[in-house]
Order: sequence, then structure tokens, then C-alpha cells
Amino acid sequence: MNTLTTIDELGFAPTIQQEEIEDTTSDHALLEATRTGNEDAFAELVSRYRNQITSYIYRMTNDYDGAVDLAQETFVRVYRAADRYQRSYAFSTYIYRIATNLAISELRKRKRRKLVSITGFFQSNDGGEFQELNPPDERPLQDCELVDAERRNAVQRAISTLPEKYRAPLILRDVDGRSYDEIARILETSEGTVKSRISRARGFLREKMRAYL
Amino acid sequence: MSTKQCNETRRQLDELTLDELAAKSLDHLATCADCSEFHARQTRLRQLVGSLGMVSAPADFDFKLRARIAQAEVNRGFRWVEFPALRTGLVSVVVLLAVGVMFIGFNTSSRVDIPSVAITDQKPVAAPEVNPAFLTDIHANDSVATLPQSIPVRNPDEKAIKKYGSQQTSKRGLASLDYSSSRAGVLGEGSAKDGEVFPITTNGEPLRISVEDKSGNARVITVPTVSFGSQRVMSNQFISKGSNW
Repeated sequence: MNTLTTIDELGFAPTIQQEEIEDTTSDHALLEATRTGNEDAFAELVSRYRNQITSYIYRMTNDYDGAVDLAQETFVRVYRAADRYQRSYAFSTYIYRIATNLAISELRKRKRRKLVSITGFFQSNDGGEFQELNPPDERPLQDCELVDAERRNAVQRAISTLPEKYRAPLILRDVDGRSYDEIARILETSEGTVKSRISRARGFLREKMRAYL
Repeated sequence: MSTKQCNETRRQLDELTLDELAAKSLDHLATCADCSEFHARQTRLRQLVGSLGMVSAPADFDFKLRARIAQAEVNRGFRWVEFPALRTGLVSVVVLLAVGVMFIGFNTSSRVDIPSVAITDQKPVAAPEVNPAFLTDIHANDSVATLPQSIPVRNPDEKAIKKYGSQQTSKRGLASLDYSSSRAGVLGEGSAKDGEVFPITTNGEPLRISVEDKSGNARVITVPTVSFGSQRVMSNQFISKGSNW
């Protein structure tokens, strides 16, 4: 039996964020400096979080160009709201909350724009969310790298079909490796709700990724 | 194995690490094949999701971000929220202006032009000639006035008739009087006492004016009397502003 249960033990977990977010206090200090007009301090903040935010939004929207655009919008909002920033919680929570709201807004815009879809016949009845059919391509591939790439694509596609309220906590937990407490603060909900949504999200994924498990 | 214990073990597998599992759940996991299968699939799934890893931002991310912030600062322009005192002052001025306009408007609409009854020793200004036939008709017919024949009656269709040679507008033209060049008659003129424009004994019946249209059909216009205290005077609409009674 495989006993690996945490992101850190899995070996696939991203490690960049662990190195980059070492001291949240310095994040506060950098934002304080930004407030006084120190452009270098803001540039340092950007360099710390640009990859994390871009990656997170990309996992949410499954659109790289759109994710870069929204990540930049996230930093613009941080910059413009630097005067009103309160140190009541970690800066990472603050910036992830902005990114989450932007990503969810983008998903809702897309849903409104998507009036007719080729795959519109396939809709789940869980919460009325739109679900695209993503049948796994079971043709055998010769190259292991291609197999891994295909597998990752399948995972990404499966995640992108999740309802947004399940998608965000799952990504924050299983991709970004954040704690339930922090996810609850980012999503402004209770820890119990976060756990419940993550559990349901994994249940959805298990069904969709049956061929790969 | 009980379903309840299976559910509890799977819930813990979802939320906790293996080290954090309760001893009871660990024992259950070791003996329940379904839960073991669930755990294996769950671990595999988390491996797959975790394998997505980090996506890097493009190399020109910072450059574009700086340009975007600069553009946002330009577009933002003047922000009222940054000047709360100025904003409060402007709001106060607007409110005061609105109250002032409302006050003036209320006063204007509620003002009643009370005609000033002239009680003076000065002799009245000589009035222009009044057609005696008009006043005679008023008294003779007991406040029923008929249009004298001497007053010119202008047919509104005259221009059309001149222009087109025949009457092409309305079938029944209405007679109208042009009083612009003559002074209006005053009831009881000459018989009023000094300092009294209208005698108290003025007839209280409404003034009726009989007119005839082009076809000879008679029309009677009734003008009701308006009383102020013990005096009865004509309605304000018949009194031009600034007129000297």
C-alpha cells in the first residue's frame, strides 16, 4: 500500500513557493515601503509572487495568456490598494484572495459568453455547473514523457471542469500545498467548508480520472 | 466492516495525513479492502494533481506590469476618495445649493399676487375712450355682455382665404376680438365713491359674455366672480401685473 499522503511526501509538489515565502513579515515591510513610493520594494514583492499567482490562476482558468493577464491585474490592484492594506493577516493570503476573486470573475464571464457549446449536451446535475466531457484518450503512447504530458493534460482538463467553488480549494490544497486554515482565510469561508469542498472535489476527480488511477 | 467506520476513515484520509489518522482508523485501513483501495486511489490522484507543479510567469512579466501600472495611474486621474475633506466640502455645497433652490422655488410657487386696492386722494389717470355701447350692453343685459358690432372681428381664416382663394382650414371659424389697442372697461366706473374701486354692492352674479361664431351660433362664456373678504373683484387672471387700479 502506498502510504504517501502529503504533498511534501509525494515528490511532485512545487517547491518554489516554500523557498520564496520565508518571511511574511518582510512582505509586510515591502508593502509598507511600496506605500511610501519605493518601487524596488514592490518589484521584490512581484518577483516573490509572480510565479505562484500566475500558476494558481492558470490552474483555475486553464488559459495561460489569460492567467498572465489576471496575475498582472492582481499586482496592479495590490499596488493601488497599498494604502488601504491592513496587516491583520499574511500578505500571501491577501494576494491569493485577490487572485481568486479575479479568477472566479473570469470563469463567470466565460460561462456567460459560452452560450452554445459543442459539448453543451453533457452537463452534470451537481450544483448546476457546466461540465464538459473529457474522455481520456486511451490510445497507447510510446514515449514516457508523452505519457506524463498527456496525464498532466488530463488532470488539468479534469480540474477545469470542476465547479469553481470546488476548484479553488482543491488547487490551493493539492497543487499549492496550503493549509486548510489559510485556504479558509483566502476563500473567506470556514475551515469545515473548505474540507468538505476539497473532499467533494477529489470525489469528482476520481470519477473523471478513473482511467488513470 | 461497518459503513460508519469506513466513512470516518475515508473522511480522515481526505483531511489528514497518515500520521494524523486515529488508531482506530489505521486499524480499519489495515483490515478493510475497500478503504485500502480508496486510500490507494486517493494517493494516486493526489500525486497526479501535485504533478502539475508550478507554471512560470513570462520573462516580460515585470516590464508589462510596470507599463500597466503606469497606464492605470494615468487613467485613474483625480480620485475623490483621496481627498475626503474636499469631497465633504463639495457635497456640503451641493446640498446647500439644493436646499436654496428648493426654498426659492417654494416661495415663488406659494406667492399670491394680492391686487393692491388703491385708496388714494390722487385723481385717477385719464383713461382712453371706451366704447360706450359695450358698457351699456353690460348694464342693460344684467351682466350679460354681447359683442358690439363696431368692434372689428377678425376671421382667423382670412389669410388662408386670401392665399388659397377659398376656405380650406377649419369648417367652423371662431370669432375673436382684438383688445390690444383699447382699454378694458371698468364696472361701475364713475359711480364709485372716493377710495373705493368696486362698490360693496357689486352684483354677485357671474359675468356672462355671449359671442357668436361665423355660422351665427351663440356661445356664452361665464366668468365666475372671486371675492376677497367683503369685496368682490375679478379674477387675477384678468388683471395685468403692475396695473394701476
